[in-house]
Amino acid sequence: MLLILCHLHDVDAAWLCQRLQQADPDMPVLIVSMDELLFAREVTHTLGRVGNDFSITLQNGRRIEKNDVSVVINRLYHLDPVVWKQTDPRQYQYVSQEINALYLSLLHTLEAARLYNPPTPVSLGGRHLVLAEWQLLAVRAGLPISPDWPPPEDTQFVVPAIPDVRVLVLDGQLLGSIPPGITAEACLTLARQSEANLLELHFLQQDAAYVFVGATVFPTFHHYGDELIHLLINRMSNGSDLGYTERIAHPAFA
Amino acid sequence: MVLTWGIPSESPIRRLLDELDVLEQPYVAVSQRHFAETDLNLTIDAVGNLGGTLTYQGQTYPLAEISGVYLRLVDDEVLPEFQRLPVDDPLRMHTRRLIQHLSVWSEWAGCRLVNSMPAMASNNSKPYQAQFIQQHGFLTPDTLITNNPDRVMDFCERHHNRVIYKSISGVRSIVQAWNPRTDAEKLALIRHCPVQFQEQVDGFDVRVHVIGELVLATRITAQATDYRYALHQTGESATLAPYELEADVAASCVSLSKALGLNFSGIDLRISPTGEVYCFEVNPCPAYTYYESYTSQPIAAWLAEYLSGHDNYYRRVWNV
Repeated sequence: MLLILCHLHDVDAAWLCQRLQQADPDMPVLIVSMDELLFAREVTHTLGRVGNDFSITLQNGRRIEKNDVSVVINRLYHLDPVVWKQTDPRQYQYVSQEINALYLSLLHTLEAARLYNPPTPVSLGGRHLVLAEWQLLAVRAGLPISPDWPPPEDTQFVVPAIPDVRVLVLDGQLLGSIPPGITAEACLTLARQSEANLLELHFLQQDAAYVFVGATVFPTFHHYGDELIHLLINRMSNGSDLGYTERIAHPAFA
Repeated sequence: MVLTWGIPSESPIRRLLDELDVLEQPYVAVSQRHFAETDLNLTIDAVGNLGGTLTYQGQTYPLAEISGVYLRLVDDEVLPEFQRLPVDDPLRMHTRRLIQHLSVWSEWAGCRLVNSMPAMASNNSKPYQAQFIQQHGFLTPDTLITNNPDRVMDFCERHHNRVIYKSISGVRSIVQAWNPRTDAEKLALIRHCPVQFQEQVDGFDVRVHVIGELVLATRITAQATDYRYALHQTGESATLAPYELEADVAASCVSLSKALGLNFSGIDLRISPTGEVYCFEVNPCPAYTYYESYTSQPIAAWLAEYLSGHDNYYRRVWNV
């Protein structure tokens, strides 16, 4: 099963789910929202000598077992137990920390190769760097940045919501058109240095040249269309990437 | 030069500064309370090397001269000077920017760092940290986290009711022993927030402080479920004494600390009566002076040597 975890407003997660199901109706794809996790009928996570495990039973009765999950695409950035806001603020904060700590550990039981955008202790939403860090790493990777470093904290003045060019690095493969003056190797190096297996890089045109302005582990999936869908289906069906060597390439791509 | 950042009157910083004085190593001790007189200006060169200056109470220090950093930050919101600021005071923005710049610089400048801010977050989730602990050869107690009361009852039965419960996150909580009579009645409440239960492990506690490649271990003897609260829980204080770790256990402590990105850590072990070594937790910002004050172990001294890159540190590592 390919499991997409997301927030209710995440249209790109919904797009991804729909397009994967259209491309391969036999491929099990499940999209689960933050709210479904928060209101799960049961969540159980165990650690011990016999191994680490989890199971989640949603309110609709759907059960998610660790061993049924081949790949997770994590689009959660924080689980917010909103119903607890009715209580004492300290209680709400406590529950919020407990639930996020639980899901960090629960997702960490999956091997790294099965988890796109793995959560970190800093953020359930994966690799969390401030803009100054992304740009610092970009320079180290060989990407040009604007000379005004570090950028001001109020990013709306330096980074527009829609970049001029965006490219996606997924498991060391580059999707999208690289802007002139930028090398694929530098983009791949940035993803590698930032330890992100799913990273969207943003560029702005300044005068005649393009500069790197930032990156996100929450890519706009629809921007990459069929190229991304094919790559993900290939990842799902090519067992060597997931440690299931008995699986062979998906018939559509064999 | 060593940079410390936090509240200098707090004992872990104070003891470190004492030992830096003994070593005659230069340092600058930034008090978080003096945020209005502190500034960090960062620069990068064409290949991404970080530079810049620290200005503190009228003096300017090139960041290139700082080779060791000890961070023991408190939340700005608890500082009286910060609390007094109006919500729109530019100093609030300045303080946030200061910490952000400190985080960026300390993370990527390549200094000896105790400890990296992201690495210190690892104990925000105890079961997450436990998975690293397992990978480094330690046992972890059989653990169940659930919102299903029936599973808890089964778990407690399987462990003959010798079970404790505690927080999942880094929220400081007092470890409580499961009481089948009184706690079973409250179990329905976990439906609303999952709770962590663990088998109770017999044995004695050992706190291991890892300093770079070095370890100092302290044995703790207490009757309490949580020795930090021994006096409160049992009416008797815990007793602490230096302890000699097996070489392979010491090596595992160092590798675990490294895997979590920590150059200085406090690792909580329990040695069972049959000699099995359990590890409960790795503290990324240990209040080591508690252990030092009981045992006179040279934790601050070794930390000062590590942070200043003193020859003594390397002599100890190479045992020469």
